[in-house]
Amino acid sequence: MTLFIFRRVLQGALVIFMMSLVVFVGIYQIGNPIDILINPEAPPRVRQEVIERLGLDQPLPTQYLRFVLGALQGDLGDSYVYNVPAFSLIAKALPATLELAFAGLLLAIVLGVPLGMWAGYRPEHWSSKAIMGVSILGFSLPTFWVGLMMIVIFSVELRWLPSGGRGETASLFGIHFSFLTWNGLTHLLLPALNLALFKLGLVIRLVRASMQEVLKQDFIRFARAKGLPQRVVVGVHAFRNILLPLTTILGLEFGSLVAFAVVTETIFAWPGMGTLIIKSISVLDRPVIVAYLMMTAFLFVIINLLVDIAYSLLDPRVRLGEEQG
Amino acid sequence: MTAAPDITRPPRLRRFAADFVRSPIAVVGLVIFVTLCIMAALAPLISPQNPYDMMTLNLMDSRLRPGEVGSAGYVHLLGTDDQGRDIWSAIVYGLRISLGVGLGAGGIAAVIGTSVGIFAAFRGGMVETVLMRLVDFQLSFPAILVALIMLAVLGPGVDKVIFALVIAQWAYFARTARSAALVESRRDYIAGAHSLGLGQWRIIFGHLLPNSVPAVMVIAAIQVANAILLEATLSFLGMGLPVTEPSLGMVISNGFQHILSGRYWMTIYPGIALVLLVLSLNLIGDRLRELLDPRKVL
Amino acid sequence: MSAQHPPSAGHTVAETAPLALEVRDLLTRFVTKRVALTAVDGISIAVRRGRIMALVGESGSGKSVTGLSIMGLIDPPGQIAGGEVRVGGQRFDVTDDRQMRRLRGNRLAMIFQDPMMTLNPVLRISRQMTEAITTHHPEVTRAEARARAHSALALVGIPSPRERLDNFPHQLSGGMRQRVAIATALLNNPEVIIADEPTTALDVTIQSQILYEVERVCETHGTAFVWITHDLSVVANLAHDVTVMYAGRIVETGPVRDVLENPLHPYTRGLIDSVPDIDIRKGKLIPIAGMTPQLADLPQGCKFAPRCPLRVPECAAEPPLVTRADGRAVRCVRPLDTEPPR
Repeated sequence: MTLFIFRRVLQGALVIFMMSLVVFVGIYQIGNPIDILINPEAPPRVRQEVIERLGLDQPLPTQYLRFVLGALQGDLGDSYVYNVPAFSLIAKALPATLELAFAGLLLAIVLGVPLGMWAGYRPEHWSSKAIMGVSILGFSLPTFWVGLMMIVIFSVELRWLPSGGRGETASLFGIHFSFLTWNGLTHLLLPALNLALFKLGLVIRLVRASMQEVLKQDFIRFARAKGLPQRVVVGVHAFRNILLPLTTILGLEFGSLVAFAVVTETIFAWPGMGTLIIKSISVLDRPVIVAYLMMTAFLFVIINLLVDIAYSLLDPRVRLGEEQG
Repeated sequence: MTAAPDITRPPRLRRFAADFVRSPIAVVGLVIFVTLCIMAALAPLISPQNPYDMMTLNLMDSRLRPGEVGSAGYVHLLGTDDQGRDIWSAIVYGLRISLGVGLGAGGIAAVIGTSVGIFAAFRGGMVETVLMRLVDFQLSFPAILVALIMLAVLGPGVDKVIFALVIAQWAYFARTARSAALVESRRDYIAGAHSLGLGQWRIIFGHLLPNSVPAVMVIAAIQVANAILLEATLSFLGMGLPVTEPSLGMVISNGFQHILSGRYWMTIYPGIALVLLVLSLNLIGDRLRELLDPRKVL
Repeated sequence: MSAQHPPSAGHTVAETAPLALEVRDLLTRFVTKRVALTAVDGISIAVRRGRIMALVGESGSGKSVTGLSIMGLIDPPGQIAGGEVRVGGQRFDVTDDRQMRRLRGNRLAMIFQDPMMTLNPVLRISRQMTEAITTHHPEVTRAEARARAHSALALVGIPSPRERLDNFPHQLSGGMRQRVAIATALLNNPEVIIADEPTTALDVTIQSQILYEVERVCETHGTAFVWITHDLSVVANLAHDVTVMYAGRIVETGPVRDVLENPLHPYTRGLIDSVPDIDIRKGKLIPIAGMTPQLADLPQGCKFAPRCPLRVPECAAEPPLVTRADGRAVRCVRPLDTEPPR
């Protein structure tokens, strides 16, 4: 198990290294930071000074080395716009995004798993066909448009829920969360639902397909031959087997929820990494863009690692296989 | 090599078409898609104005409700926006751009991705490993992130959006084409063909490519739908097409500012058009998958 | 639980033992939009306590569907269209899932063919065994259920059963898993166990060990078995009675020795001749000509006629299953012990 984790960590480090190369070379092409940083009327001497200070006159490999050395110490450069370390900007926005993505994932699971299980259990029933229709609709609805419609319906017309922002937050382990206060929760609900919708169709389809696959297995028949009620056969025997593929996919999809939060955050004015990156891209704030991408890559690697660990904990074949050598 | 037994082969295309229409919901999808395509093609004929010709716009007509008659004397079926632009016309023209970008990006990604996938399956060994590692690496990042980075680097423009979408999507095709081709390339007769020194191109075009086509078709339908959605999303975020090429996403985005003041028509109707377009493609893709690739679920 | 029938001493294979299982006119169909196929067409079987009834036939003869139908485990598009099942003299409605559920795993248990597939891979053995007890006897405590699972494992000859209880299925060999399945079936001391080719997937040594355990259980507990198989050597060594199925029908039934030594139906003869086992019949090895018919297009009249070497014009009408004075039954216009007409 330790060896397995060690291997995974090594792979993750490789991915982050590759990402840093891609990001650095890619972002290097964006605009000219000097134009943003300095008044165009500034004397050439000042201009030259800034270029030297930022190391922009150095060849690309040298700049990359500087960047990597800085990154290893948690220094990804200062934001051109806010003039504070880019890393701390991203780190401050991270909890809001993670909270939103978690809430979205949770809603997608809570809604999608029962629906998918039912659709897989009774595939010919009219309600299952309706559920499959909903799942296709889930794929097809543009997240941003649904978000707008939600605001129109629930905030403008019905005035039930706020249309944006994080609301009141409360502190837990020194980090601020919205779900801890009622007001924050009402602010969280719409964006989380909006984000959940994006994954709902996927969850329904995945669970349905796994369910159909599992129900065909001999061990389900054997469970029924023991006289177990259907709710145990489906709820325990089938469900426990669905958990494996579900964990894998959901873990990986969590990453895409973080990425897609860009859209939801923009619509609901949720102060997370997404809002920050959109702003930074529009003003070409290079260090913040780089910090965001590196943070996302790092997050993905961590998620992948956690998924692997969760998988091996859930699947006795993997877990014990490792133990026995 | 013996010739394929063509005589015994049933008319596959016709049988396939017959199978396809057995699902009423897929037929609905196809009808909607074809209708939208025709609308887009005939945009200048079926819309009362060219919404992006500033000469035809009249500020007097701005913010008309659906059904009101404007200064030019015709009815604005779906109302107008704040510049006096007819929403129906904006939708029809936006449809044109969305469809063009989606089909263009999906098509190019399909060609590139399929080529890479088949090449990897054909060559095997180190080439395959490296290519597929690259595919895996890219697929571990969501398409929207990849497209967002590309556009941040490239800046706005139709060609750049298409390029970004291709970069974001080719890997899906590569993975699918490779696994489909791999099934075939493991067959004995391919190995036989190899050892006979049969032309590489003959193996690729005669065996590997045809075998990958069904699976690629399935994801092509779905990826075109995704490309359209992605483009709309990027345009909404202000990262996509330039203002001179307003796709449905941008039309929706323009209306967004007025939604809080109750002028819902500027956002809802273009949104419905976008949903219909993407939904119809997904319905078609779903049916194709049922028929061509029944094992896959997603 | 069949506590009302304590196991009697010595052999309980007496032909006068009470009936453990009685199946009458079982009818199972597979109905789709286009066709309705009859997979089990009016099967009747009776098994006495402590006896083993073999159900033999080629694959596709409907023997497995018969077993599942008796358990009430037919899934759509299949459906049980008629017939009744009696266990210990008590009548049950096979189509009533609630009734059948109380019966299944309790008074009527089943073992399946592939031991690698019958145990749930993500649940421990203890869980999979004890749930069979607690679902029928909620009053039994977990510790008590576990103790019973433990002794059931010991009964079927599993070494160190305590550790095995905490194992997951993949940690056991195929033979061990099948023993676990048998032990699970035995947990509630059922009156009848239906075994669907439970040793086919195992190698010969393990097969004979398991057959030995089954024989012992059958004798000491008075459990009746319906042993579904296509392996006539197993039939010869294990069963007391045999029922031969063809195309969803019974073509012959009777005591094992009688049927194997003096088959009455040409199909039974064909089966015996096609077995490469010198214990049963010396010399020639003749496969049955032709193929098992598809349910979708069964011939008119006797279903075996097209493959039958002894076919006569009368075979155009399907003969009934005739029970004879010696207790054997055969479905043939001209059973093999009748004189050929001149």
